[in-house]
Amino acid sequence: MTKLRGLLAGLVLIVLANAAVLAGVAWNRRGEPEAVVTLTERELQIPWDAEADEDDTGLILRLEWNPRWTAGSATPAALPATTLRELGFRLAPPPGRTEPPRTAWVVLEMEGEAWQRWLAKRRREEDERRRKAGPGDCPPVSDFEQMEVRGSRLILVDAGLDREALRRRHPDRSRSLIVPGVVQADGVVSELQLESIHVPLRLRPVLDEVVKAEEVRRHRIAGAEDGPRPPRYRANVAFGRRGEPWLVRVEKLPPPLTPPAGFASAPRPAPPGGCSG
Amino acid sequence: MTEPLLSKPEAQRRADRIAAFRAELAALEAGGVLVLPQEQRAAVGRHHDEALRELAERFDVDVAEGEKRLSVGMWVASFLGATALALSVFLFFQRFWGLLTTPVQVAILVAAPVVALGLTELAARRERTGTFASLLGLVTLACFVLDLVMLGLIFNIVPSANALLAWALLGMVIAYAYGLRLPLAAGVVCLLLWLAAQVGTWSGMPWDSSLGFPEHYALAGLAVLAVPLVFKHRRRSELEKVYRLVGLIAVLSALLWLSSDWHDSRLPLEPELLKILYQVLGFAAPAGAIAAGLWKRWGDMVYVGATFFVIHLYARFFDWWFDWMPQYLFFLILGLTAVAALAVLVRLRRALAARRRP
Repeated sequence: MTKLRGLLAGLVLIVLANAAVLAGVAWNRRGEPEAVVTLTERELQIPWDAEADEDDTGLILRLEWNPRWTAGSATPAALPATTLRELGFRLAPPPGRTEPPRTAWVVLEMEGEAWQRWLAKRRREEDERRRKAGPGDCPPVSDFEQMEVRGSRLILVDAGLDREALRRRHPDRSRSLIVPGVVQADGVVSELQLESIHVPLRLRPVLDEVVKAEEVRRHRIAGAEDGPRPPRYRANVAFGRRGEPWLVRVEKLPPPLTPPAGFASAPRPAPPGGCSG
Repeated sequence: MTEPLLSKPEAQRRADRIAAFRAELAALEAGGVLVLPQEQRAAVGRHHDEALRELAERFDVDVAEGEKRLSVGMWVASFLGATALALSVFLFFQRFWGLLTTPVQVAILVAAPVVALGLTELAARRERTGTFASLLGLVTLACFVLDLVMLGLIFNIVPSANALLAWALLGMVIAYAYGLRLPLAAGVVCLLLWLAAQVGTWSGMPWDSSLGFPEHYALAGLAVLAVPLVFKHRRRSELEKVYRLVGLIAVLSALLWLSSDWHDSRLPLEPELLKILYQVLGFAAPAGAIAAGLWKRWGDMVYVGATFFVIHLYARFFDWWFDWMPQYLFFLILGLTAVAALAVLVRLRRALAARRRP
C-alpha cells in the first residue's frame, strides 16, 4: 500500500465509520418514537460521585430500574421458565456447567400495575419479618422504606427475543419501554445494555441548577447523605427503533406542599438497650 | 548495490553482515592470519562505505551498534509519547465537551482523527526513521477510538463490538501505508478482541460477556496467527512478526488461563477431562511454538514459547506441590528448574543462531 493510498483509505474509513454511526442514530430517531416515558429523579439519577469532577464537564443521567428485588435477598426475582426457554436457555444444563448469559429485549414498566403489586408484596413481607422479630428485638435491617419513597418505579415485567410480540403484550407506549438487556442463566436480568442517558447542552439548565444546589447542601453539611426527598425534576425520554433513548424535555418539579407517603412515617424505635451495627 | 533489497529488515541484515565482516577482518589482520594488499583493502572499504551510505539513505538502517540502541530508545519514547498524547486528547475533550452543543461535539470528534492522519502523513514525508509517524499514527488511532466511544455516549448507542473492527482496520491501514509496527500491534489487538467477541455472539451471548471466555481468545489468536500464512507480506515482511507475536501470546495466555480455571471452558466435556486436556496443552502448545520457531528461524516465537513453558511449569508446580511440600523444598525445586530452564534456553539460543547463519 503506497502512502497516498493509505492516507485515502484511512480517510475513507474514518468518514464511513462516522457516517454509519450517525446514520444509525438518524434511523433510531426517525418517525414516531417507539415509546415516550416520563421519568423523574427516582428513575434518572445524577451520578453524585462525579459532581465535583472539574475535568469532566459532561452530564450523564443514570437510568435506575428495579429488577424485582426480593425481601431479605441480594438477588432479584428470576424470569419464569417459559421465558427462559424462549430465550434459548437449557433449563437443566449438565452438572457443574453453567449456561453463558444471553441478550434479549426486556420490558420495563413505569409505575404501573407491576410496581403496585411488587410494592404490596414487599410491604407484606416486611410486616411479616417485623412481626417475627418480636417487640424486644431490633427492627430487621431493610432498604424497603428507601425503595418505597426514593427507589425507581421502573420495574422489570417481561423479556423475549421478539420485540413486536412484547409490544403486543405491553401496548402502553407511555409506560412500557422495551430495551436491550442481558439475561443470566438463573433467569435474572443482570443489566440493561444502556444504563445512562447523555444530557445535551440545551437541556442542561434545570439539571445544572439541581447539581449546584446539591453541591451547596453537601458543602454546608459535611458528610450529608441522600436522605428521603421528593424528586426535583422530571424528564421525557423517547426510545427509538433500536431501543436507544434520548432526552426530549427536562422540567423542574415544585417541592410538594405535603410530604408524600413514606416521608412522614418515622422508623420503628429501637429497644431500650439500643441496637448494635 | 550488489543485490536487490525488498524491505528494511533485509537492508538491516546486510548492514549487520558488513559490520561483522569488517570486525572479523580487523581481528584476522591483528593476528597476522590474513593481510589484504592495501589496494584490495581500500577497494573493499570503499565498496562497503558506498553500500552502507546507500542503505542508510534508502532504508534508514542503523550502521553502528550505538545507533541500534538509540533506535530502540526512540521506539520506546515514541510509544510512551503516543500514550501521553492520546490521554491528553481524551482528557482535553472530556474537560470541555459539556460546554459544547451536539453538532460542535460531533464536528470535533470527526475532525480529530482526520487531522491526526494528515499529521502522520506529513511526518512520514519529512522524516525517514518513521518514529514521529509511528507516534502520530498511534495518536490518530486514539482519536478514532475517542471519536466512536464519545459518539456512542452522546447519542446513547448500544455498545457494539464492530467499533473494534473499525479501529483494527485503521491501525492496519496506517501500519501498511507507512510500514509502522506499533499501530499494527494496536490494530491486531483490536482485531483479536473483535474476533473473540464474535465467537460468543454467534451463540447469542452479549459481545462483552464473550470476552470472559478464554477459548474465544484461543480461537481468535489462531486466526491472527494464520493471517501472515494466508497473506504473504512480500513488501512489508517486518510486519509479519506482529501477527505472530499477538496471535501466539493470545493462544498461550488462553491455555495458561484454562489450565488453572478449566471451569471457564465452553467445551461440553467432564471437568476432570478438561483439566487434563488443558494442563497437557499448556505444555504442548509452548513446546510446539518453540519447535516451529526453530524450524522457521523465528526467534521471537522461540522466546515467547519458552517464556510460557516456564510460567506454565511454575503454575503447575504451585498447584501440585505448594500445599504439601515444605516451602524450602518447593523453592529449591523452583530454583533448580530455573537453572535447568536456563541451560535449555542457552541451547535453544545456540540452535537458533546456527540456523540463522547464512
